[in-house]
Amino acid sequence: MAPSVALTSTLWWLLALAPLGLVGGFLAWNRSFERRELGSIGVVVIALINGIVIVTSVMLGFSFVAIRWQPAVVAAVSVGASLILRRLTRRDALALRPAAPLVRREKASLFAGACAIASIAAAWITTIAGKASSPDLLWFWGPKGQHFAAVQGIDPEFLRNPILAYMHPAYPPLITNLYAWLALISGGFSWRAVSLLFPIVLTLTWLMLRGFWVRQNGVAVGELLAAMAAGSLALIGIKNCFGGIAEMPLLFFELSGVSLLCLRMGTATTQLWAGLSLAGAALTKVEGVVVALPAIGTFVAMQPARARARAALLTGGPLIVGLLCWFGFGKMHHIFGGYGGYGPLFAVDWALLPRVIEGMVDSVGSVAAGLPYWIPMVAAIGVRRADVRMLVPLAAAVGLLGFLVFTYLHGGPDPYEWIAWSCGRVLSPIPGLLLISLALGYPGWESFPQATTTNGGTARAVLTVAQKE
Amino acid sequence: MTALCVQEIPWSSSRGSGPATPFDLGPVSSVGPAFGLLEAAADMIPRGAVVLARKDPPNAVADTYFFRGAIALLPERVVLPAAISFRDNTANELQADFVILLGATDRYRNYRLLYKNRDGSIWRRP
Repeated sequence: MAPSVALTSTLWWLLALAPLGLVGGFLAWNRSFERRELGSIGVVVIALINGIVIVTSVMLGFSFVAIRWQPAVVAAVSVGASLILRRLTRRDALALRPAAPLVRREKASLFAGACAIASIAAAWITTIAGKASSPDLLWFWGPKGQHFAAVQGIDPEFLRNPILAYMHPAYPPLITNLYAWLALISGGFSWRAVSLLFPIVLTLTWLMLRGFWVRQNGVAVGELLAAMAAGSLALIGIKNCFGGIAEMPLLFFELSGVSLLCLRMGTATTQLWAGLSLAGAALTKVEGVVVALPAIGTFVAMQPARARARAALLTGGPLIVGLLCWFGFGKMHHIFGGYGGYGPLFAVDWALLPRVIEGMVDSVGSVAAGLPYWIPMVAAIGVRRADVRMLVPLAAAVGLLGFLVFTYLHGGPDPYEWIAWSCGRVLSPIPGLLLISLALGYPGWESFPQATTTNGGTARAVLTVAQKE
Repeated sequence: MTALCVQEIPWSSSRGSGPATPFDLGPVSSVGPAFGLLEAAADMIPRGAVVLARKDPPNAVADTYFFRGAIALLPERVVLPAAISFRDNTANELQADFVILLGATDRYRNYRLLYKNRDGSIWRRP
């Protein structure tokens, strides 16, 4: 393919992401309180996340009822779903708080920002150069998305074909539906564009986390924590070849969902956004479920008794509906009934535990001596206070780690090789989750006086020192 | 970590014109020749055609991966496997309208040569 043709098709493919942001924008539009909490860039990123989850879920729903994907119809139904979800959320009593005071940009924050940008640029360059793309893009992520676009639906016959069993037919459909959507909108499938989703989503993840932490912890600390996250994720992604596969989007959904659950001034809207993000994680890969459920469970348990039911509905409802739809589709078309590829659930070989631990340590250590996984511990230096919200990302991290060990204990007689090529990749959310937890322990704006309003009352301005973006 | 990320950049790539495939410098750079051959095949093999993709001489492991690559890069064609799950499956050879051979071959049965490069060739049943 001529370079100019490849570039043109790549650009069209990437532009096809824009309608997803517009769909999600209906859910995020005119949410001024949340925009103050997350920043304008953060809300735009959340809108894109919401749009991806809603559109790909509508595509799943269409396939569930055997309706072919017509992009205009899918888009219209998605906008309708977005508007319905928006009506479900009501503003809670607003507890106004001042934005963090203007902090002069110190050299440390400029340096941190430059480090983050350099790490992300390295991810872009290595991917464009063909160094960071995974073969799994060629074996199944790409072919499934491409085929689904061609037949305008999730093809059960394709997934049932025993010759194509290597394509993991039981994997949830969000990423392949996303690839299909992009192919349908842009008029074709672009292998080069698909591989670029790694650096694109890495950039969006950094922007989102940076927005959260700058508002929560101030500019200097927020930039530093965001740079740590960007560096960790970029290095893990380059070393484990995240180009074109589901890992980076999975991280994106997990970290955004958990961050939204940890907001001090969470509202019904942010709970719903978190629910959609975590549903996105669960519908991307099964590992997303074992991150989402502990986080949601811990969050709901922390709510006042009168608010628990609504919190559970908003944060867990999208995930439950999505998974029921996917498993229902699989069962209905005799594609799969569960995840039985690793044997019976309780056929655990505890004798493998030392070998599993050895393999996991070696796998994590193969990426720059494990630096990206333990560097977040450095952030513990700045922790000054305990916050119960720290338990939410910690529960997610423990859930993921426990799930992984449990899975590997089914890998007899010797799971070492399996662990070697999978563990580092699957544990990639850990640095981000640890940073989200530790960031909550930094001094933030909790020390500043606040103003509250009664339910539905008009907010009164208090301290109005604005923080620069 | 930033320094380690920057260190991963392939500052001195051997291809001055940019990567030919998304996998050029990664762990599966060996798929490059097959990728290029299959991309060329996609331009000349019509949709709905029956295609066999295999290595010459046959190799069950290489043929299995070549088949998987053909599934990916030749959508809406019927791709016959020369090997399934790393086991030979030569029974399909006579059913194909088009054959893609990865390797240096000057002749293939009585098929007509459509395309040839340094990595392989594409043949059509007369």
